[in-house]
Order: sequence, then C-alpha cells, then structure tokens
Amino acid sequence: MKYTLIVHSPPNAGGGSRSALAFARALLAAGHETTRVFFYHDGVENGLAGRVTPQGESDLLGAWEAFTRDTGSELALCIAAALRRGVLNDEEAQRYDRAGPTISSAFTIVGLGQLVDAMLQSDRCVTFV
Amino acid sequence: MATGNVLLLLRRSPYDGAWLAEALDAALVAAAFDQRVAVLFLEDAVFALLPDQHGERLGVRSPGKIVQALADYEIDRVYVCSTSLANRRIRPDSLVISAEPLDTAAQGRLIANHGVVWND
Amino acid sequence: MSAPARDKEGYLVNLADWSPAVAEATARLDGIALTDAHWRIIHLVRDFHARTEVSPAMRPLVKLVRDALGKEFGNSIYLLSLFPGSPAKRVARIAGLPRPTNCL
Repeated sequence: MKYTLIVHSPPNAGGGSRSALAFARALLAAGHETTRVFFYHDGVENGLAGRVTPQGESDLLGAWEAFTRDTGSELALCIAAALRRGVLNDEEAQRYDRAGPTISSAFTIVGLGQLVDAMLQSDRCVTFV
Repeated sequence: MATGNVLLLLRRSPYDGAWLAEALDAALVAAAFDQRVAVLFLEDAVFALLPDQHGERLGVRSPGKIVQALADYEIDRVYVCSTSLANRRIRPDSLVISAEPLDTAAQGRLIANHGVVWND
Repeated sequence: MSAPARDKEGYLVNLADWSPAVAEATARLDGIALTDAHWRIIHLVRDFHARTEVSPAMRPLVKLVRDALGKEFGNSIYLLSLFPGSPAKRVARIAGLPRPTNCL
C-alpha cells in the first residue's frame, strides 16, 4: 500500500520522529511504499542542520539522512512551518535576508498543497504527534 | 481512497504556540485545494471557538478569528466534542461559529467515514 | 510619506504601515492604477482579514467577491483583469495583508 507519513513531533520532544522513522523503515521492509515523509508544526525542526547529538545517544538527523539516501524517499518540510522555526534553504534565506541556509541537504521545502496532494494519492495517512 | 474527504482532529489549546493556528491553516489549504474538509474540535481546542479573542495582545493570531474563515473556504462541517465542552462549562450556543456537538460514539462514526484523518 | 518597510516581494513588514496611499504606491510597482473597482475588492479583503486574520486564497476570494458584489464580479476572469497574474497574492500585497499561506 501507499503510505503518507506526517510528523508533527520535533526531534527533542515526544517520540514521534523516531517512531515515524522506524515505521517508515518497517513499511518499506514489508513491501509497502512511502514516497514522502512530511514534517509539519514543530516536526520541521527535524530538518535543522547542525544539530549535535551528545555521545551515547543515537543521531536522529543522521538516521533520517541515511533513510532518504537508502530509500530515495523525500523528506519534505512545510514552508510556512519551516520559516517560522528558522529552517531555511538557500532561496528562503536570501528572500528574508538571513545569514544562510539552516536546512539539512537531505530535506526539501514544499507547500502544504503538496502534502494535501500526497495524502489523497495514498491508501493510508499516518500522523506522528 | 482519494475521496477528497479529509477530517482534521484538533486538540491543542488556541494559544499553545502557533500549533492550532497552523492546524487551521492546514484545513484552509486543503479546502483551497478542492478537498471536502471537516474539522472536529476536541479537548482544549474547543477554547478556539469562544468569541472575543484578542491574540494581537499576545502578538499572535487568534484561532477564534481564523475559525470564522472556515465557512468562506466552504468548510461547513464543523464538529465539537460535547464532553470537552461540558467539562469546560462551555455552552454549545455560546460559540463564535456554529459547530455540531458530537458524543464519542458519533465521533467514532465520523472518523470511520473519512478516508484521510489528520491527527493534530 | 516615507516608504514603509517591505520584504523582497513587496509585502509590508508591518501590516500597520498600510494606508490608502501605501496601496496606491504598491499598485504602481505592479503597474496598476487603482480604480473604484480595485478599491471595492481591496476593502472586501481587508474586512475579511480583520474578521478572520486570514489572507484569502483564490477560491475563497472569488466566493467573497461573489457573495458581496454578485456573479458578474465574483469570478476569476474579472479578478484577473483587475489584479493580473496571481490575484490572491497581488490583492494581498496591495491591500496590506500577509502573504497567503502555502504560496511557495
């Protein structure tokens, strides 16, 4: 089946982001399809580059980056939510005169409309709050 | 699926950061993209339905105003959890827009009837 | 009148800086001379935003105009003739509303 995953949890509160990643891996291993993972609300902070994981903890950003490298699934941040939280790509950093991009290169910035579109084209839509 | 039938479950309190305003924006965008959208206010999100909100005094948008755009986006299926209202001593006829109170059984049927459920 | 601060796409940084004169100036940047027809739409969207704190997308904009002024005006062809290109964005900019959400 085709799944759309939506992640509302930030990396450092709640367990939603880690659950979503484990779920996405399990889906693909079971032969399902998940072409895009969407991040909304505080979930967009998952795309913030430059996060340093303390020793002894597992690197969630690195794990998402590895996931998209391994699977080709897109990691998509909603633009309005991302701007508000300072997760910017080159284009947005220039548009708003910020010092530079802050987004991990494994993530992309999209409009909410693309999320709506993906939800409607999938068989299941699972939210991680 | 692809019925174009989306239900958003809204739970957060209206001034808990930007959360509820963002969720309402998601509902509006889905409607603007031609989807049939319904919203169900649960728990502290029911406070968003109270009139006379002035988020500008906090420097933020007022969910109590944003909900008044739902009808303009042709989102006319607005539901509210009757228990959440009762627990907060809010009368269904005191809300800023009309919202149909649903008990938990009716909420279950509502969720079952929607192909896409956005849990917020 | 000193020019109010705008972002790179011409939206006001502070919505409170809006005035009819600012609207005229913004429209001129877009090559539009505001007429009564434009002003009717501008007032409609400003009232809508005052009530809802939302910048209307295209479909609700059409509906808003249709409900207030009738079918003759509430259609995308008419709105495109007044605010060419992307009417929802253009009217938001001229009327001193925030950039409509979701516009990438």
